Amino acid sequence: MSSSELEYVLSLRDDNIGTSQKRLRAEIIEFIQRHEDAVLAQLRAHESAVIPTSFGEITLNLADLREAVA
Amino acid sequence: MLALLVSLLIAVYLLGPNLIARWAADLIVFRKTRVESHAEEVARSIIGAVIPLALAVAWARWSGALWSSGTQRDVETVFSALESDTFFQAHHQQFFTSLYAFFWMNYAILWRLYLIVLLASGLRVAIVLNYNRVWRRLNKRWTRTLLATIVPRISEWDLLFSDMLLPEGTFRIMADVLTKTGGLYQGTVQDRMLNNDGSLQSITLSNPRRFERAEFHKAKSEDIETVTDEFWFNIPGNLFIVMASDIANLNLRYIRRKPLSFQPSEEEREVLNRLLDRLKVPPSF
Repeated sequence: MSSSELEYVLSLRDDNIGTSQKRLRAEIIEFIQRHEDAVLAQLRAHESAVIPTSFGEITLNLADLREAVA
Repeated sequence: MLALLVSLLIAVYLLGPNLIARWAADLIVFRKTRVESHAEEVARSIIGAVIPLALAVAWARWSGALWSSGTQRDVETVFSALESDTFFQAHHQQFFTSLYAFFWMNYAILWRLYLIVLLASGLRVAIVLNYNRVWRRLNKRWTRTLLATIVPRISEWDLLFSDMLLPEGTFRIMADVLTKTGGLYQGTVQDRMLNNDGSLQSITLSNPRRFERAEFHKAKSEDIETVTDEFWFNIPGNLFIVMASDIANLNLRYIRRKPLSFQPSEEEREVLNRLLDRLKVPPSF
């Protein structure tokens, strides 16, 4: 892979990170809003909640949630 | 004997530094191996060794170590004696004295050469390991392209599946894999195996799940409101290997391991704060 190709792939990957991140967060927040009671029950029981997304199941830990709003 | 000495000098001056540079590169990236002719191999080694060798010679001359070990006459004596038996017989005693000096002259250059190559390789490893941090500080496209020349001949697949060149923070690479038989799988990329030429051999997914396309299409034809979520089925096990020869296409997505922790918006904070506030209130039965 030449240096210009490498540079190009890295730029594409950077864009991929931004887009994926935006979409994943939107899906997580939307799920929490729609199923707040269920998420709350999971957090109370296991200190974590499994959020189904188009990326697969994402596990949110209570500590991570607190870190996000800190 | 002369041919033997020249071969030895080529090995220690050209091939040795090249081997060290390759070994250092192999520590950090999966390099594509290319089949090269012997002439190409030697030419590449010469080009790669010219700068460190010139620096090592300049350093040895500047410090005085080179000429304190021997003189140009010693070098000439050694080569002449190895080339001609007559010269060797006539200058037998002088040859061994010059050979000793010749050895120390080479030693004065070689340890400097290998130190320079090791330092340069170490610097290259450090830059590649911190590639993204350096990359983000460079704003002009040509400076970024110039930086890319420092990365060894990396396999395209290694670049895509490795988190080494990703921005700071921990990431996971998610893959949607469509196989040639029509199976759709999803999971976190746990590992990848590459062939010597850098081509993909297989990928290993953790937390894999399979999409039941046939059932989904059937349900969708009956009810247009059908959503895909119910047609993903978890596959037991944590090492799901898909051979590259079976893959029709691949969708890669890079996500943070803590997706909400990175600069949440006000709206996101609001939702999360409400959730955490409710969590503080004991549940009512």
